[in-house]
Amino acid sequence: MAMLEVRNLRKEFGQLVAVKDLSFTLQPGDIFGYIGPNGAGKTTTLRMLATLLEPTSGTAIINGVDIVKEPEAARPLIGFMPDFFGLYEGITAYEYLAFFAEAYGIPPAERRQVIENVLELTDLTVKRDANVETLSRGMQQRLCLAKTLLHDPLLLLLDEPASGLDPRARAELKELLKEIGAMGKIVIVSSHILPELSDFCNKIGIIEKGELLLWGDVETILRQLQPAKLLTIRCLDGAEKLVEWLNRQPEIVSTQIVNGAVQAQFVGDDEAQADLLRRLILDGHRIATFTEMTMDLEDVFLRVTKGEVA
Amino acid sequence: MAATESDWRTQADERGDTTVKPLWQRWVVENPVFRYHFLGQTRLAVARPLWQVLAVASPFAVIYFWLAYQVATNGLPAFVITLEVFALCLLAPLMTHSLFAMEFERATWDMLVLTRLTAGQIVMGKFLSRLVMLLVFGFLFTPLLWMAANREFNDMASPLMVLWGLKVQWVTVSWAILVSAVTLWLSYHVRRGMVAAAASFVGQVFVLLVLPIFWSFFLSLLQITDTPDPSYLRLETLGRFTWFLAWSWLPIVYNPIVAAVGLFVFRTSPNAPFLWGIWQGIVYLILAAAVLWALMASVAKATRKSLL
Repeated sequence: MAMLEVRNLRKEFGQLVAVKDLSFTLQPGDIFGYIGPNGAGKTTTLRMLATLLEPTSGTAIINGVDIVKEPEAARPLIGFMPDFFGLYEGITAYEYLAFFAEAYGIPPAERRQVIENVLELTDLTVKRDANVETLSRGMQQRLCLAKTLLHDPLLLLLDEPASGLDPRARAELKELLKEIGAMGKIVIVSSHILPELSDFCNKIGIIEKGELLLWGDVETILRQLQPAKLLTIRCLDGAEKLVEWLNRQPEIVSTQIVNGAVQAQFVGDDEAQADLLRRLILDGHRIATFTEMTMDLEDVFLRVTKGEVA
Repeated sequence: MAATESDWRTQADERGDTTVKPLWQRWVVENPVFRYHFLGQTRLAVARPLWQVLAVASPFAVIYFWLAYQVATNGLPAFVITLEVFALCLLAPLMTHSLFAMEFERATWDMLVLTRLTAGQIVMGKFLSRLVMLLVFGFLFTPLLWMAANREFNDMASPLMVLWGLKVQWVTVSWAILVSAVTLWLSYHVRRGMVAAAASFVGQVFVLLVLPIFWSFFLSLLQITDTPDPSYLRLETLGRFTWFLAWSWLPIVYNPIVAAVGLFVFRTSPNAPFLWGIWQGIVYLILAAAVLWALMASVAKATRKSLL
């Protein structure tokens, strides 16, 4: 049984349908990149899953608990980090975590150890006695994540977690999320900044105008959207001669010349690809580069979406 | 639908709690919201450099001891009563206006909602933290009040004067509690601290000043102000007092200034209505409880949390 099953989740604000009958399932260890332009319905979806917003219809089941019928039972299973979050003033990082540890109902005897563990996981041990307001944006982000992990939730919902972070803080956050994913939790990360998701998500969903256009394994989606491989070959003898030769090969679907290099649509596995390169060289072509261009999330996103908002 | 006490019991069972803890334990002792607002923010205020603390505290200390000197030498009990009522009317909204609004303004509300805290723990944790401060503030006026009374009447220790002092404190502090509860309600519903404070002040001006004026005007229009004499200063018997209330209950019930000054006027009269002051405090507290209950119900409904 899937640990998270979203069933026809829908949210309407008056006439506006913010989220249209969303359905997907995720398993333990999945890191789900939830992609969409601004206003697509990402935050609304996450807030519904976090039980902060009641769906108009549909529901989600987390480890057998219905978030609509039993929101209070679902909350201990969920950790939610909003895109814009605040911190209580005048307390240290440790006190901030102690406040939430008590609020989450962690027994007093375990609190200290739990707090130390999340501080260590988020690399904030050295900042445990620092006033939360003096922490940098990246550290505050990590502190909020530490707070989200205090009660050991099964499902982590992170809304635009890297927005406002510098490149180093983003890289650190990526590593941290990989680590959390490896702990067997389900992580849903929403973002409209695609490079920040591409490294560590094993599943993605693309939402536009409240509608989930596609979702699934990253590799499967890439295969679906790109049935033929795109090879870029640069030959020292000139592109025209190479195009002529390639068009005679049965594995090549089409060719075009881009900036002096040849881009060829190729159908075949790695063996066939290696064989093509071998034949090219044996036929006397002086090959300078031979590269397989892989589709990234940005290409997928641009191909699937139309740039519309709800 | 807001969860009920039985839901809370189920939740407690799931947590491994074998007994349902009493309300005071849930709302005060084991409530991080109470602790943060009472101890955390108080500590924030005093954990500044000593010179800053002294700079802020000194003027207040000077004013307090100057007042103490004045009332010890000149009496002025009516002045002390009026000062206490006005100070509490001013202080109560200032202490509570941001308690909920800060959660929305600082974007911490969602994180609080996702914890196991009940609506009652959140609301009462915030309210009780300010109640303690109000009681401390009210307590500071007690010596001033009794020193003034002693200077004026030279009978501070008589049971009648002790009762009078207690009733004045009861009326004024219970009014402040009502104002705090209403301001807290506003803080949650308008979600802006300054707006909540402003609405609370304007509301008090309306209830304490404008409403009695309009009511008197209304009574004049009906030409019923002559029988009986509406002046509470001339009320001498419980019967006349009751008659008077039938026509002018609004300013009396809602107006702690009228009540507190009335208590001063009737302090030695054997025919003065004994419950004047006490029942008004009870009315204020019942209203405060109703407002807090409504607030807890609103929070429970909006967040789908347990009520208590």
